[in-house]
Amino acid sequence: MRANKTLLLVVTVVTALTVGSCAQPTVEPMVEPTQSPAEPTAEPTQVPAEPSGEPIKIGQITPLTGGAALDGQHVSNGAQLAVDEINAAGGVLGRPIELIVEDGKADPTESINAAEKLLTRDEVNVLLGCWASSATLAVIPVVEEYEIPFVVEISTNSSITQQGVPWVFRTSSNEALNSQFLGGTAVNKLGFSKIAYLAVNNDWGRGAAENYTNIIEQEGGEVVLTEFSDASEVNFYAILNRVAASGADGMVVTHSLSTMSNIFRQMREIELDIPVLLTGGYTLEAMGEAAGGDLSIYDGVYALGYTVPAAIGVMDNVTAFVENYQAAYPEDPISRGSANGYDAIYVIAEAIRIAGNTEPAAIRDALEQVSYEGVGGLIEFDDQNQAHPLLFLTQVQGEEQVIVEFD
Amino acid sequence: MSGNLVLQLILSGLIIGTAYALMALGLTIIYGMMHVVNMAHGEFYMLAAYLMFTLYSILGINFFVSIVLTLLVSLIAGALIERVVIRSVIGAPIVNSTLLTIGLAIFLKQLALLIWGPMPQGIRVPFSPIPYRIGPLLITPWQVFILFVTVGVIFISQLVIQKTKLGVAMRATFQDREAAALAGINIPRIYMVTFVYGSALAALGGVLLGPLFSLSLGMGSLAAIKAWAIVLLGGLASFPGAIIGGLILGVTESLGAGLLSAGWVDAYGFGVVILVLLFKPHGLLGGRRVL
Repeated sequence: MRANKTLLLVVTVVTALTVGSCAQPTVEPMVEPTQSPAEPTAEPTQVPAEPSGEPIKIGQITPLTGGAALDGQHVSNGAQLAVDEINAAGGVLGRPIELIVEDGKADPTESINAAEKLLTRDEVNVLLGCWASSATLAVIPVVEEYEIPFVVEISTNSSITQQGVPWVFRTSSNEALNSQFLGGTAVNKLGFSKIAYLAVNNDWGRGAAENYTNIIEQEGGEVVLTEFSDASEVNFYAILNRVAASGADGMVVTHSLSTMSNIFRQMREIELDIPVLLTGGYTLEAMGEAAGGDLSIYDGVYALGYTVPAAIGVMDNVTAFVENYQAAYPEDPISRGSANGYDAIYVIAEAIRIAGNTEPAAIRDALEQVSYEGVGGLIEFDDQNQAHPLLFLTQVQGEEQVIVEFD
Repeated sequence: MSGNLVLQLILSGLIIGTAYALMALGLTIIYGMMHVVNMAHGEFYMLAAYLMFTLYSILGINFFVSIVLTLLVSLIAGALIERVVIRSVIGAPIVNSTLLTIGLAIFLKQLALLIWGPMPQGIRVPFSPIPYRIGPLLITPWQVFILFVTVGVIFISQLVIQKTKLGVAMRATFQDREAAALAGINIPRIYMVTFVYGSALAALGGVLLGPLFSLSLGMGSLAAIKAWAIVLLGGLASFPGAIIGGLILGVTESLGAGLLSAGWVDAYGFGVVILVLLFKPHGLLGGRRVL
């Protein structure tokens, strides 16, 4: 039995390692951020002056490797598109903008290292990043120490703009704003009164469940069941049976994209027929792919939406952005992240224009005055340096995702 | 808690449990016969699901033809991997095969990433999604299919091992390799058959569960962890142990998630494994090596 003991040991160790490595980084779901330049991308009628002089450097930290690499790439592609447009139109203060992108791997330590490198070696004027909320939170003390403006373009953790650090500005929405809008809508417009909450067991899911539950209860609804499950869970039969037994008349779900097809198909299979609200803004196209092209399982599903993709074809500047983006990156599916990167660059450029120079303190003060009509909606910062982009409630109707309410 | 809920949870648990058992059977046979710890077992499961997706969902080949083709490819791939990779570590200490197959698993997973990309995929079976009603219970046609196929395969496997000449040769090798070799049994051939068969069981698991859930590159690692837990629960190298262990794990997870809290679903299953090993260190049917 010696061999068996060795085997037990080996299997235990390897299993521990594998389980550990399976743990997913705490990253936001693919809720796509929205923003884009207000400027219509019409051809300029006269050729603008070629920008000259030393470039204005903007440093962006985003995941370029690892599980979030694709999402990170979308954000930096959007930012690069804005930089190219601005430079083609004469730059800012007559100088070109240079975007320096560093891989933060959606990881706090890596993102801090990237920030140190951008600030000390590249001497960037403004920082942008870092996709994952946990990474963004980690970089805040660094920008506070170096006194450099830090624009957050996609992370949604509410506390990022609640720390009183005057250098931090967020152009994207956050969980508190989202839950305020959606939680109220669920109770008042969709008529949910007894709600079952399904969430992923990480900072994002737990944070969202807490926010939404508070709002729902303030609005007079009741959360009768809250269930957390692993990010990689595929088997929801037991939970859904429990939801059915709880008498819930509505379900709110905070889960990753890969989970969606499993939840909705299994709901149909056990004939659980109650309305569902998704707090993550997924496109029907992406959800359909995970369901083998079967869109019928999503019929009637409500979801949070941002201007991209919800307002494509509805708002002219959103449609124009999508067309320009697809011309520049034909391989890249359109995603909210690209619009977020794009808008953030225009906001920074606008602030530098207002400031008239590239002194960090002057850019910070100017950011407070920015009023910019972006792809994601009007971007103006409130007392906490938090912008309030447009939010939509969408519903899947047949093969389309239509807007039923907006904030 | 109503009795109907409990019954439905047990049924879901049994369906998943039979598929768990398939995975565990493959592992336990390979370990029992060859003393090889196959850490790439889950990758066979994942690759089969993706191959099925490619043949059926992308290329549009008939569903059942796709199943057969997937299993055929997995048989050939299993034979190749046994011949080229695994054979070099047979008879070596267990650590060797463990490390080798961890490397193989990483290679296969990255290969899948290269081919299919990181986005989750789905297979839509040509069965009605509308469930049958059996009293208070609901079961979909695809779940019925899974139950029939897994029970059938387990039954046939048992028959082959107990009744055929090949089965006798396998059991002889299992009991005493040297004696079997002296009796004229072609040991390398038995090893190849064993590895191919074990891998094919994992592939069948992927073909059956792939359409039930969504496909992701990590699906194999998770399935393999559960399969190892079942092998330990049922007793190393025990054929009936793997089946009983699979059913116990499936039902425990389902009842735990449905009646207590879903956040602890892995804790219930693995908790049972730990409890069993505390009182029966060789597993439920361990120590009685039965094939």
